[in-house]
Amino acid sequence: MPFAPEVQQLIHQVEESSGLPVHVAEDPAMRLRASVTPARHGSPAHWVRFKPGSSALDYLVASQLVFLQRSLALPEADRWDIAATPAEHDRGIQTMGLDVFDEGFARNMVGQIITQTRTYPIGFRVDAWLRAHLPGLIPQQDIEIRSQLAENQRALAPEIRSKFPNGIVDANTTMNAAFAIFWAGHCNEPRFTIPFTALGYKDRAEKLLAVLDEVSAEPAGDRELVSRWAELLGLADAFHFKPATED
Amino acid sequence: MAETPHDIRFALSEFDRSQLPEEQRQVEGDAFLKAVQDYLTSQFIGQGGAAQIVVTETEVIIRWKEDATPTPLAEQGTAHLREGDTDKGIALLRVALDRNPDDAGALFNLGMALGDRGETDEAITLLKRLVTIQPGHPEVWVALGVACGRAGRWEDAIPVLREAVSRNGQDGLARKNLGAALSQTGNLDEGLVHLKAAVVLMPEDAEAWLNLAMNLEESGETAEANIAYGRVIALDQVGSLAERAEQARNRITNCGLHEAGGGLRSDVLSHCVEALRIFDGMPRDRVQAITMEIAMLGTKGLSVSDTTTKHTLRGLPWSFSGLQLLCLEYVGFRIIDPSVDIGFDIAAEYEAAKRRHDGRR
Repeated sequence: MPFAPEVQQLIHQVEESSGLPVHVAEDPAMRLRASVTPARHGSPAHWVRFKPGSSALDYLVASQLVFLQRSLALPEADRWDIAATPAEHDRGIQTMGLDVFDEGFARNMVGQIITQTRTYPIGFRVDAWLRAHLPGLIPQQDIEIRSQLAENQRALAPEIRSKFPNGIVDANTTMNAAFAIFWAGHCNEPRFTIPFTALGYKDRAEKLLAVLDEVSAEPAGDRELVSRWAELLGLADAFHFKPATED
Repeated sequence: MAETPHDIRFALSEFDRSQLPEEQRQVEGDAFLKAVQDYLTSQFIGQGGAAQIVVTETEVIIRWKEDATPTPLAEQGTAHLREGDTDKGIALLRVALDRNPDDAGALFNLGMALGDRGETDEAITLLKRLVTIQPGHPEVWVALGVACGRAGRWEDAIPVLREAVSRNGQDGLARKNLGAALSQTGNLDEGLVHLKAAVVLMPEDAEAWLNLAMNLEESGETAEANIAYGRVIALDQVGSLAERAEQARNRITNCGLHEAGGGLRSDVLSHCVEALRIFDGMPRDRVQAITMEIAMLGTKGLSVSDTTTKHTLRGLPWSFSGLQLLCLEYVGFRIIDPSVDIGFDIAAEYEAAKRRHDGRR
């Protein structure tokens, strides 16, 4: 797969710093656009998977690599992951109002919102880094961001929101509003925020964005960032941090 | 081509009423639909595209169409101001400032527009902000000085305008407004220096000439003031500045006539006698035509002190000095409509002339 030179350079840097190879592979079956799995549990390589067909593959792979790089930048003992006990999941299900659904679906939903709580704030750090250090990828980044914005705005449709309880709808929409406000500023397109403001999410979203300014932008600040977002979203008791080396 | 969020839908029941102006937050039915529509329409103004917004009883649908080359909001607002649509221009510039409080174009043009509309406090606030963030802006110092002057805050206006002149001594507007501000506050000599510079830098600016003329008149330099007022009349033709200049010239003439002697002016008296003789027995419509012809000449400026320049009239075979025409006009109006005030008070001379004329008859 011929990636852009800056992506190849990034792959090389991750391999150098971790001492392990990076495998990048297509995965037509995956739901997400791209994902990264760090080398753990004796795995001989880091895996970056992406869904084929996007016109922004360089950006998608690069962003996953920067996520990984931020984790690898920490001393091994400080690297972290998130996990949830059944009791924590139950609390999340309660807070998000998901207890109206069957247990399997509710657990799946609370897992998704926790993942979003982790990936969105760190994603802002990753995207800011990419914009600053790999400007050649900005056009692809813009494509993906606009695509994500469109997806987030489609989720405002009444038939979608009415399917879910207010708790999870509000948590998800607040993060999407933060995404819209963040990129409205960077892209100089204030209209991105209009529907979220009209629905009353602007103030809550700005509180999330304020945390980005209050917490260190270095990788060492990522854990606090996620923790602060989780508190603001009512998800602080729905998961815990664990050492990345732990099984 | 990057994907852009185009169609957006959400439930009307979820709309956050706190976004609406306070007086609209409790409205229901069609009024609520319209309030939401207006709110969203205003939010999409100047976003580099067109938003088609439909508000039904259950949901809001926004369809977005991008422009190929979006025009910045401040530029759109300024264009409306130029076209004379002040309300729309001001509204757009306010939106531009909401989105970027440091937008220099919006600060300047909104400040100017509000100042023109007499909302000087807000204008001054905006222009002061612009001075702070962009002190090198080529026009902001003058604009701020003018706004302060309009608010009657001469003590603020003068140092600001001095700053404008010190930054660019060739700025005719700065000179004109500093000169006017100094004259206004009684500093006629220094004001005169700047106003003279202003008319050199902007020889076609009727307002600069008017300010200069007023300064000269106030200083007692009536002959020079008269010339400067004449320049205003020539430049402004029949505008409000010309009208003011005309009134001022009449005032000067009037003063001149009565300062000359204290009693009756013999030349005026004799010209009035002559005028009465000319009009004696003349049909009223002819008197009217001659009087109106002189009145029209007067709008271009007649000098009552210049006895060498002669003027001719279509309706009479002789030539006349400016003072003769003035007397002829006065007498003419006394015949056709004594209620008209032509701006010269020569009633005493007229009455004496009338007595003399009637006695001869």
